[in-house]
Amino acid sequence: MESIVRRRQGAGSRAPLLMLMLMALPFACSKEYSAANDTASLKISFRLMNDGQPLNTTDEYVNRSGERYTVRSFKYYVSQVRLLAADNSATAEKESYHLMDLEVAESREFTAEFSRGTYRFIEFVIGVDSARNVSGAQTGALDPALGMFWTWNTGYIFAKLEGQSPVSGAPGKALTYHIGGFRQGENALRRILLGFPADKAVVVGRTLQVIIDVDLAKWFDHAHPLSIAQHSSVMTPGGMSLKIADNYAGMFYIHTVIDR
Amino acid sequence: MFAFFSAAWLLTGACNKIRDNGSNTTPLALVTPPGWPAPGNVFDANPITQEGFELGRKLFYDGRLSKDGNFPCASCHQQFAAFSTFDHSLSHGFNDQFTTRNAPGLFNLAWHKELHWDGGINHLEVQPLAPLTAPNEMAETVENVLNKLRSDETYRKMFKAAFNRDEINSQMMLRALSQFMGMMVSANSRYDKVMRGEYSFSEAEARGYQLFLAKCATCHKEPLFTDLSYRNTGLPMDPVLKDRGRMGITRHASDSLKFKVPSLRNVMLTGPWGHDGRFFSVGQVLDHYRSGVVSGPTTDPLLKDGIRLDIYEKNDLIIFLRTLTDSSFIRDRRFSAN
Repeated sequence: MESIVRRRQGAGSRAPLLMLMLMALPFACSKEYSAANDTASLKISFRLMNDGQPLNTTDEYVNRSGERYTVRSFKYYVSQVRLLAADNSATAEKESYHLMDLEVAESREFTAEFSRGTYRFIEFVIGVDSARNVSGAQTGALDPALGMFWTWNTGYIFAKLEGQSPVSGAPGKALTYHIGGFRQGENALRRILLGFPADKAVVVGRTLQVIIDVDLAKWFDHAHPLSIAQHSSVMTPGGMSLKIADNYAGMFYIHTVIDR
Repeated sequence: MFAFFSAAWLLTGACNKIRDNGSNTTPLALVTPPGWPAPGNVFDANPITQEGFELGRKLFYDGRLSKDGNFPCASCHQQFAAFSTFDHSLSHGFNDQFTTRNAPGLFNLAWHKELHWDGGINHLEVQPLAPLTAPNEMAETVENVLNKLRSDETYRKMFKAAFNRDEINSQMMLRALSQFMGMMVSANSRYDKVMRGEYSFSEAEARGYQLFLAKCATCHKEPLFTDLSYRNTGLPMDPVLKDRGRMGITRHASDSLKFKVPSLRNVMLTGPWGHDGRFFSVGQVLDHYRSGVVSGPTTDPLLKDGIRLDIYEKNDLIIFLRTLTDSSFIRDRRFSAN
């Protein structure tokens, strides 16, 4: 582009007009370039736990109903991540969709861009907003190839927990929870609001890391006791999915905020 | 003046470059037939191009989209049957398995908001994921299919040509298929020619059309010949398939045994008929409406007492339905395997 400009300048006598046009160039595309200096990054990590112990695929756990279970797979969507200041002003991550996976350590932390400022709360949604459920093929964390998608009844699985339990009546003693639903009456989206520790206001622009604990034990008993013997498989929106969504809404805690 | 234009050209050029998603593609227009409503917004984020359409066509006819290579989309959607499965109540999928519903013809899909007999698919782009991953249909995984495509030089070139990116992902594959299927417009039957003033109905066809307007057109609404609604037409549930239709999607008892109203366009090519292909002639379908409707709690009020048709009227109606066959559509080389 530079060379074309030089040639034109050399060839013609309308350099001033041309300069004016070129000065306008960055503004014409300003959407793509704007605000680079007003934002900074914040690292956010999720630690998967179960009743105070790190969650893994080998240990056996016991829920509040006294039922033993193991976990083979645990995935969930974190979306619409926002930070809120004391005066309720907020900054939102753009294109904010993250798939957290027990089996992929790097999936559980990400660095997001926010407006600079001092914030008291972090807010995010477990699940995928209805717009992305009805807008055709998506990419990135929302790629249907990632298996968090119902192909025969269009919609995202918001959270997936699979494992085994001796009390399960399903083949292979399986426990299978595929939780989702975005339609009216079946909305399993849950908004999570967590306050930062009083002395740890998050200043975007400093190299901070927010560490959030995820207590899987709450999946079974936060708001509604979930008996594996009674419900070893929940794979459609509505009904039990809404209760489990209420449960998983209670899984999240701020562990700490640290300087990186 | 010249400098002004060249600078303006530079400006737009610079902006396009940032948003560039296929600068060398040839746009294809999805033409709305005269008198039709505008199609939905299914292509708003996926502008149709010659390159995308051709890629979609190759994918549609490629057995590698299935687990054992035997089941391209076209195995159940055959052009000579208006992209339904010719002469099969249920189609065959992987490992000699049957599907559980009759494969519908594919045409005018850009005007459909929801797809499948139960309307479970809410966007054309994500429809192929259902047959592709169903164990009794193509039985594949999306990732396996993408890996097969990525290892093929021709596909790498065609994806690059269509989307101007050096990768192959599921969205690109699905959008290409969507472009191909969305361009399948069938609007050139004898009926259409009559509507355009190019032909006249025969006397029997004209009588059949009047009967159609009086007795069928509420649900099979022109010009699509479907109102895209879900209705229980009084078909008793098949005891093996136990298919409750729309209720499987919405989980509302009020939707039990409701299925999407199929288009009557190309109806003579898309038999057997009914969501499970239980009718082996159009005459049988009409006989069902004349005397076979089972009245249950969700049976459509318009059909509670069946449809009154004497045998002469039935015959005229069938003669009219034949005018809905679009023979140029089933021979259109743009949609053929080549």
